[in-house]
Amino acid sequence: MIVMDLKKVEHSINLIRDFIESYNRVAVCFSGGKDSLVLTYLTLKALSEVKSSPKIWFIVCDPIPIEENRGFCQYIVDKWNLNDYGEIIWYEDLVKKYSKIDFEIAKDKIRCCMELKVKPLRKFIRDENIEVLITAIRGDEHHERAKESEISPREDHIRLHPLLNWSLIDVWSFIKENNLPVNPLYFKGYLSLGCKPCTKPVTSGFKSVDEIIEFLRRGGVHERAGRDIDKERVMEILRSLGYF
Amino acid sequence: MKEQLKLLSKDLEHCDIVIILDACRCDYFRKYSKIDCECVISPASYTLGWLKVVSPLFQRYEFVAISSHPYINSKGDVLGHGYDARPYFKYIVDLWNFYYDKSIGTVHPVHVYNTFKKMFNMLKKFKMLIWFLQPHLPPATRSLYQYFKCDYNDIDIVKLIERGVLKDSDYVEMYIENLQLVLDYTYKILDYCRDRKEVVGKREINVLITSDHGEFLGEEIELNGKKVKVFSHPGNISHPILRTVPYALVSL
Repeated sequence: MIVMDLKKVEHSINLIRDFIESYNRVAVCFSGGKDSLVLTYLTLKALSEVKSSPKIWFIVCDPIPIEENRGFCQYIVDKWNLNDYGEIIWYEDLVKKYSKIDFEIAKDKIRCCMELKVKPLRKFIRDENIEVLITAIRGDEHHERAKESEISPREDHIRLHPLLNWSLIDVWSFIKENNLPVNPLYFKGYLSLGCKPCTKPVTSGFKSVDEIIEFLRRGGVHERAGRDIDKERVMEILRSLGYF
Repeated sequence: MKEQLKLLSKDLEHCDIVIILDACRCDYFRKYSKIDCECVISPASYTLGWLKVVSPLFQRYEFVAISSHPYINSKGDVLGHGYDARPYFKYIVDLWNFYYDKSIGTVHPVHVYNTFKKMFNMLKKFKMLIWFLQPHLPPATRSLYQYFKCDYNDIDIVKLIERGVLKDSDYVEMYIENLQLVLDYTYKILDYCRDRKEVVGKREINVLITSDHGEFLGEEIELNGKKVKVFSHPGNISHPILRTVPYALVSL
C-alpha cells in the first residue's frame, strides 16, 4: 500500500493558505480532473484556516468539456458548497464572454488553445485584477511543466502551483486516503482530462481507485497518452503564451 | 571593523527585508550610493561560502527569498555545489529560472524589482530576502555577449582582459554601471515600501542592504610571493577587498 507523504500535503496547504491570507483576489482552477480535485480540496482546507476574507473565484471545468465532466464538476460544486467559499466561473462562460469561435475547433491546436483557453483566462485575470492564480499542474506530468516553479511570477499576477512536486501516484493515493469523489471518466479509461476534441480514453477502464493505482504502479501507460499528440508537441509554445 | 555575521545574528530579527547586492564593495557603495552604510567584514569571499555560513540565520526566521542567484532556487542543489537553499527559506521565487537573459548573461534587476512588487503582500506574514545579481558582472547595462557573439558560458570577462580584448578600465566602468543600475532599483524598492507599508499592516519597514562579498577591480596583491593583478573574486583568495562589504540599515 502506498501512503501519501504528509509533509508534502502540509506544504501544499501552507502554500495555498499563506498566499490566500496575504492577497485579496485569488482564483483557483478546478477542471474536474484528479489533480484539480485535490487542489480544490486542499484549498478548502486552507480556507478553513484563513483569518482574512479575500475574494475567491473557482474557474470550473474546460472550455469544451466532455459532457460527463461538466456533470462531475457541478456535483463537486454542490457537494463541497464551493459557492459558499467563492464565485463559480464556468470556463465555457469565459469563452462566451471573451472569445469568438470563428475557426474550426481543434484543427490548429495552438490557435484553438490560444482562443479558447489562454485568451479568456488572460482577460479574466486582467478584468478581475486577479493577484494569484492557483493551478494544479504537476512536474512529472509533462517535461514543460517540470520547468515550472511553485511560485511563478507573471506579468500581471502570481501563478501558484502547490502540486508541482506531487507525483501521479501521490495524487491518486491522496484521493484514496481521503475518500474523495472520483470523476467517472477515469473508470471509463481516461487517465488525463481536457477538452473533448483533444482527449481520449487510453485503457478499457477501471473498477476502483485501487485498480488505477495498481495500473500506474506497474508502469501502465503515460498519463497524457490520451491527450492529442499535436497539442503535446506544442506545449512549450502554449506554455510560453500563458497556457498551464 | 565589525563582523557581518554577528550583526546579522542581532539584526535579522528586526529586519523585514534583506537586500543583497552581489559582490558589492563597501568603498564603491559609499562613493555611489545615497544610502549611508558602515563597512563590515563578511564571513566569506565568495557567494557559496557566504551562503553556507549565513543561511542558518535566515532559517531562524521565516524568509521568502526572491532570488536571481541560481544557488538560491526552489529545486534544490541542481548545480551540484553541495548547497540546498530550500531548508533555510519558507518559499523561494526562482528568478534565474524565469528571467535569465542570455543576451546579458544575467538576470536584469528590473525583474527583481517587478517580482518584489508582486510579492510585496507576503510581508504581511514573512520577512523577505531580495537577491540582486549586480553589481557582480556581467553587466546588465550592455549586451556583452551579443557584442562578442557568444554565450555566457563561452567567455569569461577576466580572460578577455588578460587577452587584451577588454581594458582594465572597462572592467571598472562596467562594475560601476552595474552598481549604479542596481542602486536605482534598490531605491525603487525603498520608495515602494515607504509608500505602501500600511498595505502590509506595518508602521515601519526595516530594510538591511548588504553584500555577500567584495570584488577585485584590478588591484595588485601578493599571491604566492608574486605581485599579481586580480579581477573578480577568485574562490581561493580571501583578501580584505573581498571581505569588506557595506551594511546599511534603513527604517522606512
